[in-house]
Order: sequence, then C-alpha cells, then structure tokens
Amino acid sequence: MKKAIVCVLMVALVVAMGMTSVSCQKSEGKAASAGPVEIDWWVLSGGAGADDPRTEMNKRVAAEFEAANPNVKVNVNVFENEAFKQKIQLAIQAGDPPDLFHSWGGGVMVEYANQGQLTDITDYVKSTLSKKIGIGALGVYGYDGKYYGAPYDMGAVALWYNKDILAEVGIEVPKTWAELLTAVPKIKKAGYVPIALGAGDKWPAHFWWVYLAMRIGGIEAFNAAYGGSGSFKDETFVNAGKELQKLAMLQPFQTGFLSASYDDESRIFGDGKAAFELMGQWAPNVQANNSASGEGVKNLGVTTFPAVEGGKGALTDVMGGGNGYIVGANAPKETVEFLNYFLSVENQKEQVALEGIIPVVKGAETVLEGNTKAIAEAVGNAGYYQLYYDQFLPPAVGEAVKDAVAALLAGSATPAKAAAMVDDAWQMEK
Amino acid sequence: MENIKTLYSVKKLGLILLLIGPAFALFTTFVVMPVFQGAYYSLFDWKGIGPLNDFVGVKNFVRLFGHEPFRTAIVNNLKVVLFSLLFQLPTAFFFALLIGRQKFPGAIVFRSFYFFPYVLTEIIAGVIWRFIYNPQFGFLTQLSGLIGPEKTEIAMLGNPETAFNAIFVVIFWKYIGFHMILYIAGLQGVPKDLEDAAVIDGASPLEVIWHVIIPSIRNTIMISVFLSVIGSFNVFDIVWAMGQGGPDHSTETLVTYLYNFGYKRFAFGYGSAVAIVIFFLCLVFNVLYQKYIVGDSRS
Amino acid sequence: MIFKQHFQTTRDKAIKFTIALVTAFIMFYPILVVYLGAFKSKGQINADPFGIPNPATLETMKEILGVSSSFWQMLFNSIVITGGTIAIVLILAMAAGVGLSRIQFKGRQAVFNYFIMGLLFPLTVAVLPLMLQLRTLGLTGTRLGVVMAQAAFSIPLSVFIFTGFFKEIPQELQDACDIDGGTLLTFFRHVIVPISTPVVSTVSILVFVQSWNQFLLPLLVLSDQAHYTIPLGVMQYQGQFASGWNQIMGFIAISLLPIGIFYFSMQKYVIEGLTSGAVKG
Repeated sequence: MKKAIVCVLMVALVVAMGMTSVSCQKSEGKAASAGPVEIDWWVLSGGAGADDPRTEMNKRVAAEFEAANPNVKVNVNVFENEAFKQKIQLAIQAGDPPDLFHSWGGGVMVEYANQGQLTDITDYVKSTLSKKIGIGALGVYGYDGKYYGAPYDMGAVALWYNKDILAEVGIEVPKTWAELLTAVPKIKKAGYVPIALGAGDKWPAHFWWVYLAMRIGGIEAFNAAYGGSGSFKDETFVNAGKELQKLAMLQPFQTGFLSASYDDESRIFGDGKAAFELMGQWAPNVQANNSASGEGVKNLGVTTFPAVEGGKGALTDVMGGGNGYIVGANAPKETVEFLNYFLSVENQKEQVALEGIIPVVKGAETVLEGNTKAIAEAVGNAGYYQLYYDQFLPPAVGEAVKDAVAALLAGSATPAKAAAMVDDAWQMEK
Repeated sequence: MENIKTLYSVKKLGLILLLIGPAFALFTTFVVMPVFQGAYYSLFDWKGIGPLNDFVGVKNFVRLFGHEPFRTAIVNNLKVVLFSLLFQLPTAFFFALLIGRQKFPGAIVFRSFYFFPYVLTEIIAGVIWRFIYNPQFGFLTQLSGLIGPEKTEIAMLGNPETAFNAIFVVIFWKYIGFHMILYIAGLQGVPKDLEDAAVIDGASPLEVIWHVIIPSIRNTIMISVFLSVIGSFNVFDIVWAMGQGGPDHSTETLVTYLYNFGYKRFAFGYGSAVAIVIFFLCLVFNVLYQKYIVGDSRS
Repeated sequence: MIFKQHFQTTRDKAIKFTIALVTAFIMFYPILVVYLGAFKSKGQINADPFGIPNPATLETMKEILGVSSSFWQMLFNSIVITGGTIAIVLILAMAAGVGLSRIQFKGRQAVFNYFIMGLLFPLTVAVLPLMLQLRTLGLTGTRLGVVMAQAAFSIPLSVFIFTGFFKEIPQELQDACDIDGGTLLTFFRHVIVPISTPVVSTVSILVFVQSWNQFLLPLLVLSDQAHYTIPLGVMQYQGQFASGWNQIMGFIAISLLPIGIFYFSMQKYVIEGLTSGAVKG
C-alpha cells in the first residue's frame, strides 16, 4: 500500500516536472523566435473528430500560407460551436482576443469593436477584399463605415420540407402562414412531427419569431424599433408573438422540444420523421450528418418563410446571416493577407462541397446547385436582408430575444410580455 | 539568552514562512485576489473590459433580487439542499448500514459500484443522462411502451414542471456514493460492545440505529451535511450539462444564472454580484453551522 | 425456535442481498447503456437504444480509435494536468498542514481560517477575475495555468484535511525529536512521512477526481487543441455537427476507460483513502 502510494507520488512529481520543463521550453521557444510572426486563428469544428474535413482543410490552407510566407506561422485552434461561444467571450472580456476568429458579424461583433478588441481593417477591405466580395455581404462585418472582417458564407434561413411527407399527407407547400397552420393538424394525423425544433439551444426557436415580425411589420417595424421612433413593444412584435402562440397551441413540435438541442432537431428531420424545419443554408449538411436512415434528406425541398395575411413584409425579405472571420486587436498585419488568401475561389468551392456554404467570393457560386442555389438566389434577390437578431443586436438584447421566445413557447409569457422583455433589454442597452 | 531567543524566533519565523508561505501565496494569488476583485466589480456597471468608471453601488444587487429567474435559481438551490438532506443523505446512510457492516457478501464489489458515479466526469454524466431522458427514444418512453398499451413520448427535461426533478435524479445518483462512503467509514468507529449491550437490553434495530449508531457517527454526519450543503449551493456542471438552466430558466441555479446573465450578456459587474450572493449564502450557512451544529456537539 | 430464527436471518440476508443487487444494477445502468451503445451501428442504436447489440459491431470503436489519434494526446494532457495538480497540492498543503498543526504561533487560527474560507468559494464563480489574473501572469493558453489554478482551489480542503490529521500526532513524539537534537525536519522524516500514507492518499484522490473531471477551467484557459483534456474532447466530439449516438457512446466508452481502470484497480485505496481522511476531518 505504502509502496503503491509512493510510486503514484513519484510519477506525479516526475510528470509535473516534465510539464514545467515542457512549458518552459515552449515559452523560451516563443521568446527566442521573435522572428516568425504568429497568427492565432480560431475556427469552428465540423464535429467529426480529428479527421473532420473542415479542420483538415483549414490546416491545409494554413500550411500553404506558411509555405508561401516563411516568416509567418498560423496556429489553427478548433472549437466546437457552444464551447467557442463561451471561450471567445472570456477571451474578449479578459482583453486577450485571438488574431483571427470566427464571427457571425452584427451587434456581437460591434460590442467587441466598442471594447477595443478588434482591428479596423477598413482600408484593406476597400482596397482588396471588396474587389471579390459583394459589399452587401461585407456589410455584415462592418458598422458605421468601418470593417473588422469578412464573411466566407452568406445565406438565409428558409423553410425546409420533406417532399415525401407532404405528398403522403396531401398538402401543398404553404405559401401563407394560415396554410401552414392548417397543414399542422393534418401532418400530425398522419403520424409525423409537423415541425422539428431544438428550442433547448434557443437560437433555432428565435428564427420563428423574427421571421413572423419581418412578415408582419416589414423593414419599417424593425427600423422604427431599432432607430428609436418605435419600440420592440410595438404591435408588430406583439402580433408576431400572437402568431407564434397560435402555432404553439397546435403542438406542432416534437415532444420535449423545449429541451431539445439543434442536433436533436436535425436528427428528427434527417430521419424523415418531421415535415418542416426552419433553418439556415447549412441544414442539409447537418441533417445528413445526424440522421441514421437519411430518409429525410432524400427528397428535400426548400421554400421561403410563408407570408402573413395583411403583413407589410414582402416574401423576398430574407433573414439570414453568414459565417466569417474578424481580426482581433493587436493582430499582426499579415493576418489580413492570410484572410485574403483563405478567401480564394478554389477554397470557397471546396467549402461548398465540405460544409454546404453559400460562397461569397465572386466566381465560386458556379458550383452551387439545387436547394443551395435557390437560397443563394433568395439572398441575391432580397429587398430587405435581416441578420439574425441574436447576432445583429447587442449580446444582452440578443439573449433577451431568445429568452422571450423560449418563455413564449413554454407558455410562461404572453406575447405582450415577451415583446416587453426584448424592449426592456434594448432600452437598457441603448 | 535574549540573543538565543531572537535567533530562535527568527528561525521559527523562517520555518513558518517556508512551510505555510507557498500554499499561502498560491491560494492568495488564484483564489482570494480574484474573489475580492469580483466583489469590487460587483459595485460597477462593467462589461468586463475598459475602465471601471460606472459606479452603481448596490444597484446590481437590487436588480438581482427583482429578477424572476434569479428567484427561481435561489429556490432551486434551496430545493437541492432540502432534497439532499431529506432524501439523499438518509438513503446513503441506509446503504452504508446495508453493506458497510459485519460480513456482507460482496460488500467491496457493491461499494465500488455505488461509488463509481462519483468519480465520473460531470459533463460525461450529463451526456449519458440526456440520452436516457431523450423523449423520442429514451428510457421512460421505452418503458411506457412496455407497461402501457402504446408508447408515449415522455419528456422530463423538456417540461419546465418536471425538468428540475429529472436533474435531482442525476444529482442523487452522482453524489450518493460519496456520502455512503463517509458513513461506512464512520460506522467502523461505532463501538461494537455498546451496540451489543443495546441488543441484549432488548432494543429494536431502529432503536439501536437511533440511540447508538447515529450518536457515535455524529462527526461524520456533520461533515457530510456540511459538504452536501456547500456543494448544493455551488452545483453547476450537472445542471449545465442537462440543459443550461432551461427550459425557460426552470432549472436555473445560482451558478448557471451567473453564467447566463453575467458572462453571456457581457454584464460582468452584474455577474460578480451573483458571485457575492453565493459567497454570502455559504458564509451565513457556515456561521450558523459552526455556531449551532458544531457548537452544540462540543457542549 | 432456533430453526425459525435461522430461517429469518437467512431470509433477511436474502432480502438485503437482493436490495443491494438491484441498487447496484440501477447505479451502474447508465454506464452499461454507454457500453451497449458503443457496439451498435447507427441504425441499431436508433431502433433499439437500450437493448443488447445484435449483432455487436466493432466498427464504431474502430472508427473512433482510428480517427481519434487525438485521444492519446488528450489522455496525455489529462495525466499531465492531473499529475501536476496533485503534486503541487500535496507538497504545498502538506507543508502548510505541518506548519499549522505543529508550530505554535500567534495568529495561527487566523491563518487556518483564512485557508478554510476558500472552501466556501468554488472555482466557477471566480472564473473571470481568475482569467484576468492568469493573463497578468502570462499563463493563459498553457497547461501550467490550468494546474496552478486547480491546485490553488484545491488548497483549502487539502490544508483542512492535513492539519486535522497532523494535529492528532501526540506532542511527545515531536518533543522527543527536539530533545534528540533534531529539528522539525527530523520529525517530518521520522514521524510524519511514515504515518501519512492514508491522508496523502485521501488528498490525492480528492484532487484527482476534481482535476480529472474539471471542464470549465481547461475550456477557458486552453485554446490549442493539442492541449485538450478528455472532458473537453468529449464536448468537442459531440459538438455542433455531431455524429450519431453510437459514435458519441463509443467515444465516451473509450474516455471512461482510464478513470475506470484507475478506479477499479485502485478502489481499495480510493475508498480507504477517502474514508480515513474524512473521518478525521
């Protein structure tokens, strides 16, 4: 017994010493090699373990850039989505942002910029990046005339549907909100889940409320609330809550949707058990990854969010967003060159194949087909393009929107209270 | 003589510094200083970076107590405390009596099985239990198919009414082994002759437990209660892994609240205020514990 | 009469044994679910999530072990971080425990209370100031940063346990060392070290369990995936674009092996260690 403990202790000691020397070596190495410039790059994982194709691609691009620029070293750090959100927040709050990192743009990014945690790359965007990326897409990564990064993916949230189920139940693709509401009981009767929803992760649920508000009040309602001439307590947002409540009363979601994750949502749809899913351009990819049978992705259709009767919004109004990278404060100047290198037509085409993005670099869209092409066109034709609220609005307000929608769905808040929750957070933040 | 004394005390001081100094330094740097910084931040409206110039006094605390999810969080924490004291610890004690005494066949095997959940990583336990609770194919859903006429989807975690109970089950499962082990250890110290004497006097098993065993392991029970209460106030990983305080904040506890409303919303001053409340609650408990429970047993 | 009594005790025993058996099964069931799931195909686990794999397939496991060469790296990191934390805690807390229990000095109780105060404060609530502190010291992104912070938060309980344990040593033993011309060092070597096995194993095990399972701190401190520990790996694996449940269960099954092997092979020490320390405290 004693011997065993002593052994364990010795091992622990040796290991600890080994570790200190490892970390010493590392810091020495960093200090001694003042020559090479290091770029810390934080990317999201594709979640398929170490052989994740996205990670492999990112590492390959980094290596290519290093080969072309011997004085630069790109450190690729891969994070799972929710872990990334936690980590980046702490890194920003601790004043220690990475040099180049994933961002959905919008208000969250603006918050980082306001705290002085981002590098203003406006000049580079204007001189170089704007030549290959449309100014609309770049705008998501800019604010008040200043740019902090660039997108690599820009799409839309749309209503995905399972053609087989719709045919079996005998319903048309809903063009109006009323049609969707009448379809729900029919689909339930046929033994399918009308709508898959992962409200435990909150953001998939907030899409529904935001789209309803867009269809009911159009761009004017949002601009009024955002600009200060109106508020998030306005009729539009209360009515959006009422419509969502109408839908929720029909119990269209799978059992336990309130705690379900987005993975659960895509699994149910991917397995062909649900008729609809309101999700972004990446949906087919995730559905296929998560499903066991693949039934749901065989005959996949996509349509715009239905119109609400009497609403001011147009069917071409689109809510969506993209994925991109922004440049942290104190990043080496080579960072933007690497970003530019990453945003090549070839890389974009590869990303289309690997993760189903909607490319932003001109010339890469030629590889799009089918549903993704439809989404790219919807984005292109959008009269009013609204970035997801949870990214567009400041973090505290974005969280409040998601909370309000969750409360609405759980039945603990009335439409008016939900709207007030959002407005309170907004007034505090303004 | 005087010289020797000074020399002696210098030497003694050096020794004290050498022995206690390093632990003191490490503890002060990484625990005490951050905690005091947090206390200071709690008086400001601060987003975690930039100058601390928006002094708001106790406004953060006022807002806190007016916020419904925060009240849910406090109530949930108190529920965990009560539940642990009323169910978890007595059950642990029961199992300690069952397998921890005399010659129970396979006692060691049983002990290790009961204790294993305690060493399991919380985050992994969360993933496993979410699988078990899955409304579409989970254990309860399958069970309903076996018992009832047809399969009904049961969503414990997806229902704000039942979600916290579902988490209780996991907390119960995860930590019961730890308390059982404490009691088994305590039972080794119960004087056998006292127990035998009671039995000869015709005491029933329950009377033996109540009048002999429990008084003899009083110390152990006190430690177990202390650790259980402090742990209950700080429960985080399990709750987080089971649903991040959702749905609709129904399973929020103080620490998940701190996360959701402090860090996630860049409200660092506000989050620090939550931390101070947690600290204060533990402190109050500790004072009461020292005064009434430890003090009582000494007299 | 005697027969009846005998019968009753046998029946009693049988009932007790059955209760114990059923409970053991319930307690272990979640783990069983993991190992059953790990040997199923994606289709099987969806069709029959809790049943026995039929036929059992090694495909999932092969895939994970093949894919996750990173598993070995994570295992190494977990061992290094946990080992380092244990070593630091043992050395510092043991020394402090001796100082606080064997030397009379003014303010001793105050220093002891100062340490004990830390028991009331979990790591989670001090995370942001802690991050700021680590950054000031240049420890963000390093395994050493995780070790130092974890060790610091393990100090209170360890000092508490060590002090309580060393207090029990009779003063005469220490005096004897002094009279013999020895110092505290002699006392340390000849008295404390030989009798400390149980308390050292208690503290080691408590720190081991905490450190090995720690999720939040390594998540926030480490950024390079090559530094990731096993809990972070599990989170990463079942991430955004997760694979099927069979793969998640497979990954967990493998992740549980190190701690499972450690626990079941050392369980005698684990439990003895825990019990001896706790009762003294």
